[in-house]
Amino acid sequence: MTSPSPAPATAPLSAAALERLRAALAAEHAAIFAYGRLGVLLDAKGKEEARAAEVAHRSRRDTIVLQLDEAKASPVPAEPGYALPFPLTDSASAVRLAVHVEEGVAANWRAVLRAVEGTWRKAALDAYSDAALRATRWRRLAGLTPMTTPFPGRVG
Amino acid sequence: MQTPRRTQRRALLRAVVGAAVVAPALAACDLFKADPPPPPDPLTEFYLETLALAAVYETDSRPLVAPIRDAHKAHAAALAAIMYPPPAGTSPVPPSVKPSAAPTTPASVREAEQKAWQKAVDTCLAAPAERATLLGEIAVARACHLEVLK
Repeated sequence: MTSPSPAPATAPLSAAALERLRAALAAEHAAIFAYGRLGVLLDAKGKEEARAAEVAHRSRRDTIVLQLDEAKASPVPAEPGYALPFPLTDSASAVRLAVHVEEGVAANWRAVLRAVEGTWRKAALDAYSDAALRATRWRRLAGLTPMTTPFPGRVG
Repeated sequence: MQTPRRTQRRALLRAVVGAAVVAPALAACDLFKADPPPPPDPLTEFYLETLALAAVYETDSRPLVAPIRDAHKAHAAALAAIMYPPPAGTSPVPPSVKPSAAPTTPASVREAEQKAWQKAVDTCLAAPAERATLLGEIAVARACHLEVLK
């Protein structure tokens, strides 16, 4: 729904805000890794969706890395590899992983909201919304119902 | 004949006892005076609009909208849980947020959801920290509803 916002210039970030932003960045790294694995198992329409999602996550990652660097907070680097939550064997498991990834990213950006304000909160809300929207599109592609949840990204 | 010292003591006692008699009377005024009602919660209008949005879906029988209607009701309940004073017994739904009596169409439902999404985004961005998460959840849920209603 939105493109990554430019680097915000507001009040210094609290320790809690920095911790949550780093967690959100780590989730973006993991999402990029996952899309690199699952894309090949999808059909043409799925591949197109996966490519767009990976581009969006890369763009968000780059933005948040720059934002954290400007805030004098060290951005967390990507891991060399990530353990997938279940084996990737076919198109169905690939779509399931895409839903899982986007829900995880949404949960991490959701957690940022209360720790920040101003342009930081706008950026977090945009990222949260984009991930939840992609999860909805993946659920539609997989024929899962309901396609939405009342409180996206809420765990438990 | 009273000495000046005794006069002073009597005046002191009169002042202290007199104050003690008057003070409960004044306190009684405070005791029985009703406190003014607290002002309505800042989320009152948003809450009423959320109820009205849920009502928009009541006449839409498409299967895909049932979870959306239920989500709006869940949002209203979650808002009510954090509002002070609680919304029960607040002013009735103002005409500006009452659902139209006209039958809903897919286009009118989508338009209502679009307006509600923008309102939720604006409300989240202006909210105090302790309310930002719930309002963000509502904004994002509404964005997802728009995706479903495409």
